[in-house]
Amino acid sequence: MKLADIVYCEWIKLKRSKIILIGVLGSLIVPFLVIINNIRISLSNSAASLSLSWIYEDTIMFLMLLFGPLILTVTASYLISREYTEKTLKTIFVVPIKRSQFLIGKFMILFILVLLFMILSWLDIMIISIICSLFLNISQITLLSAASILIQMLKGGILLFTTLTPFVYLTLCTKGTVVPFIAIAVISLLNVVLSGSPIAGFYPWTATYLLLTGRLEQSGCPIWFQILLILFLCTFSIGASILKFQKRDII
Amino acid sequence: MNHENRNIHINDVTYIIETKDLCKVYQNHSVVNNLNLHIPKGQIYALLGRNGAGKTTTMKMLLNLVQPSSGKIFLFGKNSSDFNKKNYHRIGSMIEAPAFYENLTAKENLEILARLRGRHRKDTIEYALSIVNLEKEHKKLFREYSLGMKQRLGLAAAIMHEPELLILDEPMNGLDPIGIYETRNYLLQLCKEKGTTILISSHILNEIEQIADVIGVIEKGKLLEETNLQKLYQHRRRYAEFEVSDVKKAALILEHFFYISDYTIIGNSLLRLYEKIDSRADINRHFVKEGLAVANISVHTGKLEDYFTELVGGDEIG
Repeated sequence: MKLADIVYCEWIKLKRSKIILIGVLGSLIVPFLVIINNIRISLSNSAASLSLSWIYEDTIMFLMLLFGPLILTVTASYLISREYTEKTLKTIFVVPIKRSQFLIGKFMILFILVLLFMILSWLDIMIISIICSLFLNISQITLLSAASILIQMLKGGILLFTTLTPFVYLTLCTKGTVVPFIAIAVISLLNVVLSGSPIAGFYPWTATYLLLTGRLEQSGCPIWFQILLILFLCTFSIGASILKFQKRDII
Repeated sequence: MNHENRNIHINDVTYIIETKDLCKVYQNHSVVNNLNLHIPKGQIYALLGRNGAGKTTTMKMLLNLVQPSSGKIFLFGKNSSDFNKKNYHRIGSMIEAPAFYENLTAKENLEILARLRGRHRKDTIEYALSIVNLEKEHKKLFREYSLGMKQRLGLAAAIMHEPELLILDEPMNGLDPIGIYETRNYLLQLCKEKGTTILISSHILNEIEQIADVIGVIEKGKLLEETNLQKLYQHRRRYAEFEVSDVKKAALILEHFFYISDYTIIGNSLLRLYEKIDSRADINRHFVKEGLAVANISVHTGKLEDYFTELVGGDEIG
């Protein structure tokens, strides 16, 4: 059994699925709102000049701390919970596929979706910025800065994925989307509250943002500690999910 | 790890599935209780029982979807405590209402299963869909399917890899009469021509009677009877039915003059006699002599349903 086949099947399962539409809209809305807000600020304050890096910084902040976790947790939760609500596990697990393989396929499709979410947001930033630059003065719209923003956003996607893994475990435990959604709502709220505080570096969901933007050390948290913490969180969540799923009866 | 294997041959019959004291307990509630099934190779075995009797849980345990609380399962002659995933290449199944991805078509759903299964013929999906007459439903999504169509897709998923063993949980549910006829014929054909072993569950006796070689009756998780159809027919009891003017007086006559206790009274005028049927002429004479009016005497053979109702102690089967 090739892992590629499992991931391909996971991709097919999303065909005509509304969660994709939610994800696409979610990825487009943040850059759009950020640009509107930045244009408003620059028009009201002549000292503030619009730039691509300013738009990116605001976008990545909202994506990493608020909107991304919310949308992508709903997506992660849906990927797992639909197998319970549509009772498809009894259809899938009578083919020769290991439960661990099945779950790794789920994590991989989630990883791909997170990256696609970031790429779409990046595309949105670039397209809206280019369109706006026809009417307004937006600096730094170059191929180099576009490429560097894309790389940063992909890094952000990888970091965001690591902090989403506990919600997969939570969905497996509850077999539904409600508890993970409440949990991510609380965590997103804490992100907003803690993002400027000294303990933000020790809190994984804000630390990923600080790590990406190079502000982690300013928060007083050693980079190695946070990387280890994030890796532990991700590995533990994936491992616990596989263990939880391994011997569970398909009722 | 238990490597206990056995080639199960009893009276020249090879069993493809055998369970030994199989139990499943959910939160102190016993669903399957010391179940000992013997499913012969190349035959149709029907697991018959009321709703909630433990048929589906048993099938899920056979498929390794549910772990037994205790007991053993021998699948293809091997102890399935070390269940090999490769077994799934040899088994096709449909458990409860078929479940597929609702946003996908039949073909897309089967494509997922075929791809996950790995090895399959190129035309396997078209072949399976044509068997169940769904090949023309190109655009319809699973969520738009009727119950009968869902059942047919479930059957297509079960047979698409041409398994040696089919485990089908109430496969006729929701099918129209033509669908039931076609499915029954197809299963009989599979068993006869390809030697496929079929384990089928149902709570409808008439359905089972027309297809099964062996019947296992399950009630409250226990196997009450396991027998072949020929032997089962022997259980159909003959009886003489008297239509009399006073059944209570007739019953007294039977007990006091003929020492008959095996009879039943039905309504105000019918009396069924299960023993000394050949003495019905004498009994009739005596009834008349005692002043009873006998309107009718007839001899019948009981229905299989009566036997099962008696066996499970209720009247919900049939």
